[in-house]
Amino acid sequence: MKYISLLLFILTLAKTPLLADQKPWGIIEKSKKASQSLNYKGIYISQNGPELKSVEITHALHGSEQFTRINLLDGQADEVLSHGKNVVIYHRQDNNVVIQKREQHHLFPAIFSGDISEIKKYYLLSFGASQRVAGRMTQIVNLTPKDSLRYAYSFWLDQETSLPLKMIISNIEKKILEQSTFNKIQFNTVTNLDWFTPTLDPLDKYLIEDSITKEINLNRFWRANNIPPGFKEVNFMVSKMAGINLVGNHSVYSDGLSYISLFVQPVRKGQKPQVGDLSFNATNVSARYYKGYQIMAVGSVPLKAVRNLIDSVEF
Amino acid sequence: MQPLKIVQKSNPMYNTAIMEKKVIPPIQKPVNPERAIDQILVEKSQKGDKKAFSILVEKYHKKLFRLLSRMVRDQSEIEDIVQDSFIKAYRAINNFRGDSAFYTWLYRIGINTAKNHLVALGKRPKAMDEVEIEDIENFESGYEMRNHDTPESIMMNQEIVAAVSETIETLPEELKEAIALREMDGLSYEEIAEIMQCPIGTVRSRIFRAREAIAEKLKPLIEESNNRW
Amino acid sequence: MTEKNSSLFDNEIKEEDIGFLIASEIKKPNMRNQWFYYQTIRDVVRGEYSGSSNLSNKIMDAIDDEPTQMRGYSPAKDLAIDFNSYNWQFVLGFAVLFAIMFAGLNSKNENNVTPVQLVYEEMPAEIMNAHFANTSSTANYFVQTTLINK
Repeated sequence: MKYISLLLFILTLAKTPLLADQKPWGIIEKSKKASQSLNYKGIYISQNGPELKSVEITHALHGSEQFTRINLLDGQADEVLSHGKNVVIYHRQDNNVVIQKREQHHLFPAIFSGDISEIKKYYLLSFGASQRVAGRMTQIVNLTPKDSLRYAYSFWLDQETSLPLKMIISNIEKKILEQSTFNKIQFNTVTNLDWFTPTLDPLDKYLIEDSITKEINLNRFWRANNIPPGFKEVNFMVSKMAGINLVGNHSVYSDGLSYISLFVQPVRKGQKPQVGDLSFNATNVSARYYKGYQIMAVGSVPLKAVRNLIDSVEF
Repeated sequence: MQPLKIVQKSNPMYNTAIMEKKVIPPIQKPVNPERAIDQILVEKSQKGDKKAFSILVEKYHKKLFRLLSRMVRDQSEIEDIVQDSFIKAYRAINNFRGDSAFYTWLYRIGINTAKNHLVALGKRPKAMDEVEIEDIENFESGYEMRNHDTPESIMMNQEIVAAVSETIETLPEELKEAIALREMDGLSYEEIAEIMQCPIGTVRSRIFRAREAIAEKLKPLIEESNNRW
Repeated sequence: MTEKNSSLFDNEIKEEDIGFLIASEIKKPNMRNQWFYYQTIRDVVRGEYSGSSNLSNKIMDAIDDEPTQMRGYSPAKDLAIDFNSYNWQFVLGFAVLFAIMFAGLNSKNENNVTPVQLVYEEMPAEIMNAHFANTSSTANYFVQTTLINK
């Protein structure tokens, strides 16, 4: 009986193109490559806590360059256009369109856009069932954290292309914190770049967002001694604080899937520094007041991770 | 799955060909150099160049002050209104179409701002003659901006006036004559060239050199007065 | 200081040269300062001088706090701030020094500042915006955070 089960299992593997001839983690590599190299257009629903939004995404690879356009279909008609690492947001605010530049994004389904080598060390990969999503057969792949400092991720990878068609982030109690799922997707219908343009009314006013936030190679005066294992600093920014001639520091850490922001900001006169912990939706925040500075960590990670991080900041 | 070949028809990020069709018609061509200069500074401001707007501020803030001093008595209030007016003008700069001169448009904003200010304070505006906006160029009277009349500031002002006068007196004759004809009599370069029997380029050069010499003498005094470095 | 700027101040430029001259002069850091001196000289000569006011600087300080007004588009490269420029790093270097100085000043007041409990309603908007703008995997959080200083 045992051997029949094993035989059936092997036959199942052979039948499923995704798993055939795959080393397990190769699936993640393939998924990353799919999100970067495929031409597709679809609509997915994104849920973060009680908020549900429909999003239309168009993605194409032209030569070696990626072009992505994301339109929010609910609420304000905001857009994201990205070309390689250049990302521009068009956000409607009052009667103006705010144009804001960002450095990069890792928006669903391009979740694995960063370095995934650390993921292997800190997550266990396992396979779930096959399920149908957006009219296509998918394979469930689970990434379960090996410690209590990160959340669990489940991906429904398209069996033909390996593109993530659904993603769920859940905590240790298996409560769903965040999810995104395609309800419609088409491949290879994108044949030109005419769609790669913002749909803005030229009579609108445009405001170029004026923050001077940027990665600067400055000697920082503080250090964090207890960065969660597997998390590396992926960005460091110095930003001018609103209305005063002081700068705040913002470090971003990632293990390839999860992200934590650490802020070290001087407390302005008249401002009350905040301390304590806070959770909302998939996000946890921990704050501390230290030597005149507000230290705050924010991340889609368990509270323990952000709390340990801010407690370890010293200067 | 092999990706299909992409035919790139437009620039990445922006389909500028489509957008150009929808662009608002360009501002009408002005008829005099001053208006042309202001026009270009406005257009640059509309493209996000705050430096261009700062030139307009430098050019017109004193004139606006003088105009508004006919409506508002208090000097510091006038300064606040002038500042508010320029901020409003900057926020509305994309609405400026060039149908009128920039300073005409600015002064309308200034007058409305002053009126609103006075109404908010429960005050009635000083009686203002029926000054047509188009006559603003000829508007002469009104307060000058004062640097808070302390003994020190009065002395500083006198030193600055003395420095300018003395420097002009020490200039070579041709430079002195050129700067006087320009600043006192308000003659154009062409008219000065005719009077001085020299090319316009020479007039330009003489006026510039005169200004340079005077500015050199003024710098230490202005620095002390305003920290303008 | 240039002769061309002096002529621009007098509006004595051929119409066909105006655009080019403004474009070149405006790049020079002293254009506005130069006009200030010229205006001072003019006011003195005309008997209209009543003192050097700092009003234009105050106005531009206020304008600098305003969001940049812009009609139309610029290509992505024009949106990019030249972070490799010397001036930028120089200014930031001073900003960091000031930050450290103010930190020193503030630290003396630390004992007098009573922290409050972190609550959702009082989460600093700029912190949440900066976090989601750089880390979010959901498009709505990524897009609908802006860092405009109101």
